[in-house]
Amino acid sequence: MNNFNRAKIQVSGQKRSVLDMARSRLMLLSLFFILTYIVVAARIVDLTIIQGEMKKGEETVSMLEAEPVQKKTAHRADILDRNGIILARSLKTASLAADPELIPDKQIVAKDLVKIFPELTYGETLKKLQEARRFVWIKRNMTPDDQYKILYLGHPGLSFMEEERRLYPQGPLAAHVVGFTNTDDRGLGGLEAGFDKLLMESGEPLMTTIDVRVQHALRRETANAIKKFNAVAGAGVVMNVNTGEILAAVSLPDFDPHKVNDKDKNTMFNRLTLGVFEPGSTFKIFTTAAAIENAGAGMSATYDATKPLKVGRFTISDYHPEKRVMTLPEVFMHSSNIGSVKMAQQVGTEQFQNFLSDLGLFKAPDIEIPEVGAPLIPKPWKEINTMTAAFGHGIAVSPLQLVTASASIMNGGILVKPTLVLDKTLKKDKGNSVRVVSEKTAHRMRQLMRLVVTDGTGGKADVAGYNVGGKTGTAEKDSGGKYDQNKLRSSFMAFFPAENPKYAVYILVDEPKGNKESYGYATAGWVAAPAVKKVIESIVAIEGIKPQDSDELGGTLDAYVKSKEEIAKEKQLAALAAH
Amino acid sequence: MRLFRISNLLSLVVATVFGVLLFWTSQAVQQKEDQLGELKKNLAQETETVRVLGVEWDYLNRPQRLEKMAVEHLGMELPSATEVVKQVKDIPEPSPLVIPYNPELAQEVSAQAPAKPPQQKSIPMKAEIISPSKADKQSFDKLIESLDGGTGE
Repeated sequence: MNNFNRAKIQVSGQKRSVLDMARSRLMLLSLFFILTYIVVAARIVDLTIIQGEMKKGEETVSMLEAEPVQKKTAHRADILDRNGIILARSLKTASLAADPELIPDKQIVAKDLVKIFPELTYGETLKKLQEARRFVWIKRNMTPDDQYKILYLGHPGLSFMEEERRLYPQGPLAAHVVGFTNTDDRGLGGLEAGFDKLLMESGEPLMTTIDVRVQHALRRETANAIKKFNAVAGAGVVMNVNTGEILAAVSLPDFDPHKVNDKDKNTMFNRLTLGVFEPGSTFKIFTTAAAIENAGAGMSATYDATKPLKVGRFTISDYHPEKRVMTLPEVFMHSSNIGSVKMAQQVGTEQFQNFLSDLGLFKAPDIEIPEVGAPLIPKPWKEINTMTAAFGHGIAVSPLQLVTASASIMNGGILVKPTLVLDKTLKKDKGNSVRVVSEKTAHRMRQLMRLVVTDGTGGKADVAGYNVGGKTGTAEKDSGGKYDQNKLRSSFMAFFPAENPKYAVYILVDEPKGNKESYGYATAGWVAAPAVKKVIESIVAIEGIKPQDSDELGGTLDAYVKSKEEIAKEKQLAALAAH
Repeated sequence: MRLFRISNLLSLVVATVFGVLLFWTSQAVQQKEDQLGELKKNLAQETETVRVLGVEWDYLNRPQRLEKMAVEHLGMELPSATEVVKQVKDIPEPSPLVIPYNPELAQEVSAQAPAKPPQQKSIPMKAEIISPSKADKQSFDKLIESLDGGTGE
């Protein structure tokens, strides 16, 4: 090119060729600029109109901001009850630190600080301020109110550090369900541990099925029963029998989630889900249901409970021996061990085992908290195990399992899964319903449970107008391989309203001692049943449930239950015949 | 001179105007950004305050505390199922407000307007009821404090 240009210049004269060259260079230059501007313009259109439209709604970060807004602190998500009441929330709290070198008058500062924080001592605070360091902690996690007071003092050398702190406004109320976190904000128990990752990452509050009002009622009554009967511990649960939602779950003694002492096993232990116990007579719900469902036992089926049963070295006898042949409703109502054993034998070992297994009593329940206890099942399961399991001994399950399995029968026969989370999207499986007993059997069980309250051992749980059905359970505690008659575990499982149960209420009291009011009795009917009654009364008031005019199931089994007069007459006749 | 041709002058003016406009715009944008930053900071602070107040609200409304206060100060009791009213018509008519007789007030009122119907006497009494004395207020504050400490468990 150059050579060619030069040739041209030589031909056309020097002055003109220089102008030409300048013009062509100018042309090239302006062409370059025009192109550049077009590119810039195109880019502007692209950024503002095309991409701008797409990015609408997204939060844009501007490069022009002189001082970038503080990075959004990601709080650990809240845990709420079913009505949105806060069970756990992380708050930014200020911690006070001091730089001793910047504080001129250390005595005055120390004096002022002690005024604001009465728990600090003047001497120690002053010593801290006199240290030859550039950083000392004065007070961790203070309230906003105290922070304001410090700011108002205006002393130099004091500074705040922001820290996260998990607060549980309800205190120990639902401690075992909600759980607790360590200082690094990691969940270590209950839902805090079960949903640790979700709570850390999502920022969306976790809504539980707990209702603090029901929770309080249950905790109050369980605690009252423990206090009244000088018991060592207790547990309770309120469950919606149709959905498996747990409205209240209590294990006493409990702990303050703000001051957790891991080593205190007594308070940290969740007796409701982690503890497994021999359930005692409440287990007869399953034995009776199995007899009706699998062995076709009707209400007129009879069981001979005249003599205690001897099996090997064991003797199975009744707590309140009736010493006569009883019908199925009578066995259930008087909670006869002998009758229940005969029912289980009627069902057969294998079928009885399958029935319990179908109810989910042979494996640890699936619930959203990590504290879950696996049941203790005899292996191998022999005939004797069927006999003892018939009245709830020789097998240990958690109260939660017991309530879940009973609810599965009482709701009409559909297996329920206990759950603590209201949010449906977080639930693992849904929809596919498994039937465990027929509706007819469920109806029979409702009648039987109602009978226990109207005529049997659970009379103290009846709430007029709400048709409570239930079953008592008094189990002797195992101490050193022997059953101790003085150490009982009294529980009551209630459902209401009996004709179409909505709620299951269960209270267990560990080692109650009889008192004057209970005439020395510490059995379930005296200890747990009245507590359950009070919980039901509270639930009724909280949920606004209307009382009913009729008692559909009450008295429906009267034909199968002998009155006291009839029994006395029969005994007289038998005595006459013997003579 | 060719330098001062109309078109040149015009483009100079236009360039200056655009320059000024650009500067003004960028300044305005910066100011808005500053304002936005400030607002965001305030918003974050307010949100944090609301979070703190939410916890405080639920702390003060703990069922235990409400129950204790209702029992101690309002003379309320736990409802029993027998007290549940089934139908609206079962609710009794509210009884008329009973005001303790205050001879001083009665004299005052009768002196002012002897013909006034008796219901109107209740007005000064009501005012007295609504605003408690300072001592009452103080003892109430003390009480709340003691409750906070007492039911913390």
